[in-house]
Amino acid sequence: MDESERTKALSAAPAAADDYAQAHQQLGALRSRLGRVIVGQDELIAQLVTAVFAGGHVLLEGLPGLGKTHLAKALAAALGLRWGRVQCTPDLMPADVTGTDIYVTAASGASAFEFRPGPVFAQLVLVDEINRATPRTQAALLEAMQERQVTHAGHTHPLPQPFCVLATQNPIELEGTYPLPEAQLDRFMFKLTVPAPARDALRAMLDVSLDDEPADAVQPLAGPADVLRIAQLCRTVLLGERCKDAAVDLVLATQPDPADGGSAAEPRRHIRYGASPRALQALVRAARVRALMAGRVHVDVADLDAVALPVLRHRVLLRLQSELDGRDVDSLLASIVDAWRRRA
Amino acid sequence: MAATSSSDSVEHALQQLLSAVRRHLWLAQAAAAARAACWLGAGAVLLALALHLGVTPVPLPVVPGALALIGLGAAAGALRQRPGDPACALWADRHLGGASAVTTWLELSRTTATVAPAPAARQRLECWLAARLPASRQQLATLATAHRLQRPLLTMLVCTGLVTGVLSLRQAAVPAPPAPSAKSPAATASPAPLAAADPAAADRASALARAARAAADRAAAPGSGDRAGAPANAQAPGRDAALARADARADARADDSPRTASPAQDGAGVPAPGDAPAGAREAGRAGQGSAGQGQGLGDSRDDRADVGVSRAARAPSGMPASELADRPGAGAWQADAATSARFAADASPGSRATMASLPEPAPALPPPATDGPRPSPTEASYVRAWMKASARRP
Repeated sequence: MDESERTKALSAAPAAADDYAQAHQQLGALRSRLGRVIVGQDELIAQLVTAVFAGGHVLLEGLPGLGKTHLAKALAAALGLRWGRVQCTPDLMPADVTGTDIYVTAASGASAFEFRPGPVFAQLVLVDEINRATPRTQAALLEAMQERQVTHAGHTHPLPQPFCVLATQNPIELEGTYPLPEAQLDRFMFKLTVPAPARDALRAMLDVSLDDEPADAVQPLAGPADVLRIAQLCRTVLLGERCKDAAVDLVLATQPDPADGGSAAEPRRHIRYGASPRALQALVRAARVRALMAGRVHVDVADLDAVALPVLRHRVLLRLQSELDGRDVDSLLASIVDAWRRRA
Repeated sequence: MAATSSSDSVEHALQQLLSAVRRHLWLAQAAAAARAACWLGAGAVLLALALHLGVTPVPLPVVPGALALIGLGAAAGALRQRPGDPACALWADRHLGGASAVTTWLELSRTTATVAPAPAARQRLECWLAARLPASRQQLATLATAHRLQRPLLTMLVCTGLVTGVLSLRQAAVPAPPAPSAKSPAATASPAPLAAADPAAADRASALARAARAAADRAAAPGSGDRAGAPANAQAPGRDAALARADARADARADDSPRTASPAQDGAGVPAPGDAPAGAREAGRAGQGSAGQGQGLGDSRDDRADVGVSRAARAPSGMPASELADRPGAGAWQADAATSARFAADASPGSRATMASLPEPAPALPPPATDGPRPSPTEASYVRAWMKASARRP
């Protein structure tokens, strides 16, 4: 039985009551282990784990040197996933990502073109500085991220399961970069901003990673089958009508004001484009994982609240005038989420 | 079997929690309704007070009636809004740390979920709820219910006491309204309703008024002061101020007198014995004298012309005196008659004390310049003849 058949069998088995408790323990252990590698970024780690088990992709944004690549490597190691890395540059071609046909001559003398998979055929793909790749190369990732397959020369190659793309981008040094189009941004479940660590975290970092590379020493806690099993369990987490209504209300709260009026304090007045229905799906999926992390088998409004900002921040576009006025998406969404939380 | 019993126990505990929450919510609703009823009751009694002072008298029983009505309405509203299980579950999720578990469990138990959940998930949910329920019950027990009834209740009580006091004082000060069958002087003070009700009676009253004025004139004439007797004003002490006008007083007195004479006798100015004032009796005698000459008092045009009225302010001479009495402002024209009656009373020393209690009559004012139609030559000649005749009259 190969790995894919084993994971299929695992995910098809009916869940038992103990499975939820076991998944909760595993998620907690994973967060704890990653927290020992990436010091002082507990919330970032929780969001990253949430996205992975919800079956989404993550766009990490932060200044250089904050440990984005380090975190991706540690996550892949902790989950026992096969990981690949693509360092994006302006001359990166799509075939460098998806793979290409090469002419192979067998030992018997027969020669033929053979598909050589690219780095996207990994279970955890780190696309570093994705905004430095050309739009053509970025578009090559679209099918892989959404359809989880690669079509090359008329042949469709399925990607391995689980499949997760961790893309990073730098908010500065924007010369020679190609901002991601909205269609591709919408493929990312989360957009996480990597904050600068606090003083205590910086002090602890000296003890952890001054002379060593702790990400290389991370022992796997689980395998791909466990990841799929937990992801399957997350899909059975109960979602009540109250939370469904609350999720819909939150997405609708990000839609622009149709009357183009309202008071200046109305946050919707500054929104040009709101969150998509795909954002609603991502919101609920991620909230299910958060519920399981909290040891519950039912979603609460607090779970939706916890994942609202990472889900929505890259799906909401501000008006040009509001951007020129210095408003940013995060503060606007924070006010929207606060108002929604009081109503829910 | 163990899972079933565990599920039943969780359901029982959850139903208990929902019942407790329902009681809590119901109590809160009742308190809110009571607060609203108190504020509304205070407003209602203040409105009743404003109506009583400004528009129309409000009977005292209206106040408790309105309060009872408002209270009953509030109680009915509070009883009608019975919190259902979903509302109780939502409240428990929000305020008792339910984290949406109670609503989710309720939806599962009511089989309203569109997709059948995994049995393991449901079992896990019940385990989670069983672990959470004691804390929720304890949290509910420690929740202080602030009814906040003191201020609205005190406001309503103060307003009710104030309004009840004002209404009681006002009703004690104002005499009880007369029975509709009894005719009061105030009811007959206005000639217009009287004329509308009984034109013949109005005519008779006007005739009596004219007779009183004629007697007053004669009493005011030199050498006849002692004959005047008590004037018409002396017969109406304590009447309404509107009755100060001599015409209206005479009308009222004529209406109060029992009618024993025939209309012909009324037209001759003969009032019923006993109630009729001395001035009126004197005028009746004078009228009898005139009737012997074939012309009764009030029938001739001379008599219809108001004797005591200033000539310059007289109405068109073709208008009968009975109509003049009905016209608005007619009383003001007759200030001369009242003044003459006052002088006649001054001439009688025995009635000075009585006259002193009378209200001060309005001073005679010069007639206003009117743009009315000038009398025709025939009318002018008639007036001149009448003036000559009245100058010859003793």
